[in-house]
Amino acid sequence: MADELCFLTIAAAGERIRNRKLTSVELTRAFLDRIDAINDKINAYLLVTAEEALGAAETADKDLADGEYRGPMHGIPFALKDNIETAGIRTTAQSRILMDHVPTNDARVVEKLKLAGGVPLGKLTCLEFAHGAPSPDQAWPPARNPWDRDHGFTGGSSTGSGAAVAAGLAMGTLGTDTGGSVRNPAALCGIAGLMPTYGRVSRRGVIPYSFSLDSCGPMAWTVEDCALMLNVMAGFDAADPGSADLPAPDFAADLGHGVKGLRIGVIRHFFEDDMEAEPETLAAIDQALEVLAAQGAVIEEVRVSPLMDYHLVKTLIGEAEFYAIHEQDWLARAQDYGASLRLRTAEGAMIPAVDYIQAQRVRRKLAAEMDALFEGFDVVVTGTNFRPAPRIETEAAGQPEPQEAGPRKSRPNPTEVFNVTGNPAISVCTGFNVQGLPLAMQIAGRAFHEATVLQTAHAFEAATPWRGKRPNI
Amino acid sequence: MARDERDGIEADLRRLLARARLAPSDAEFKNLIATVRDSRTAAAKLRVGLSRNDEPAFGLPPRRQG
Repeated sequence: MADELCFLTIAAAGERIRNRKLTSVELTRAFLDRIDAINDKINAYLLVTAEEALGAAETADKDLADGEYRGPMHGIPFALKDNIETAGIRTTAQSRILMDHVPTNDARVVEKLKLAGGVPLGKLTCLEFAHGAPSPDQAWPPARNPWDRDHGFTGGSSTGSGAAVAAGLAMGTLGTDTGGSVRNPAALCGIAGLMPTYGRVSRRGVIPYSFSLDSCGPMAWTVEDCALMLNVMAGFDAADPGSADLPAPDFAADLGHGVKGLRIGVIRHFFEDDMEAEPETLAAIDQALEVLAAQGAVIEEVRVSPLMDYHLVKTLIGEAEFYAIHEQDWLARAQDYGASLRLRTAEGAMIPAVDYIQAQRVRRKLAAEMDALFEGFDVVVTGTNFRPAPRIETEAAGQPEPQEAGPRKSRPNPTEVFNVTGNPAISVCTGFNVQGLPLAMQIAGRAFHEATVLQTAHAFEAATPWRGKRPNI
Repeated sequence: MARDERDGIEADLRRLLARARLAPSDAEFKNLIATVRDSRTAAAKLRVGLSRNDEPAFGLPPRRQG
């Protein structure tokens, strides 16, 4: 019974709590027990805050008994990527550089989720500073993909955030996304993960990777749960210079509206010409498009700039801004960075100012091109990635010597496109390959039109059986 | 890429790594140089289509709030 509670959606559990058929303490205990039982197989959490969680759950139950209901997140256990600051609780970004960092304040998104009655279970592992690759010399072991615990990479950088949801170790998690760090682990772990429009969710208290590319987004088992979390997370914050002063709508309001008449553009060249997706990934996207077409969506293939243009812009901006953030620590304590970032950080220092500015100029042109595309389409569909979970060994950095001579391999990814343009994008599960590993697609929308993205993703999810299958742990 | 620029990259990298007290192996150092050269070559190609009046995008929201 306790484990069954861990596989409820936020929407279902929230309803039971509101109707007093389930207490937050009961639900929170179920999660703490499950974390205790299987986290060492998944390594999703690097810190479990059981005492704080039970305290928050008791408060949620008491508030409800006193007639104070705070909404669908009331009493819901969630967890945080460890680059999101928590008052009085160590926040390391999975780095030895921040091993003693205990923030004074919660990040704005954490404040909001707590105010909405959410119950924080703990901190989730990630790639160091949300960058790089799994390193064997990091302070905590890398998260394991619940669908293939022996070898499967979770995708990064929100590794623990993806693994925890898939394994039933949190109902919803927060991730951060600079080039796909919410959507890639969502894809490889078979869950839903939304990167909101740049500026939609405050990043105050989120340890930065790249100021002009970073977003913070929800990850959950279903699209509906992502919408419920975004309802709490979204909104202007004057303390975040990138925050957009726009009203946030009810992101769950249009979920049942279907896709009839919706115009969907398919950016096929990203995953067929510019890069080549594996056949199963490709076939699953085609089948997903058939599902949407059968519900009345109008689907048309479209073209934008080559994927490599987005990748170069993202890399130049991201690496330069990462170095600007880390210069002081890196020059003083380079040896304390993991093997994945120790030398790579130097690349950012070697990007001339003029190259950074040119990349920002090209970025504006790419964003304008995407805006023009959305004049004719409500959403676009493309791949989230090109293949299901690779083996973690092939993703790991830190070998004593580089395996091959030449420049560091740098792979374009369709997720980076929407960090460059700032548009919202979600990854949803499109099925499983023959080995049982999750497949995915990406749905992106106009700036600040997350509701349409969620509406489309929900319609697809509701018409397919993929939410009925959980990993066997 | 001209030889002067190649030599400049190598010298700049050596100074930077010395400041950070890092001593990569020869293979690691060569690969780092190759990555930096690749980045500069790619950046040069990327900016070919820009015109004088194309402005940068330092953070996207302002243009979308109007």
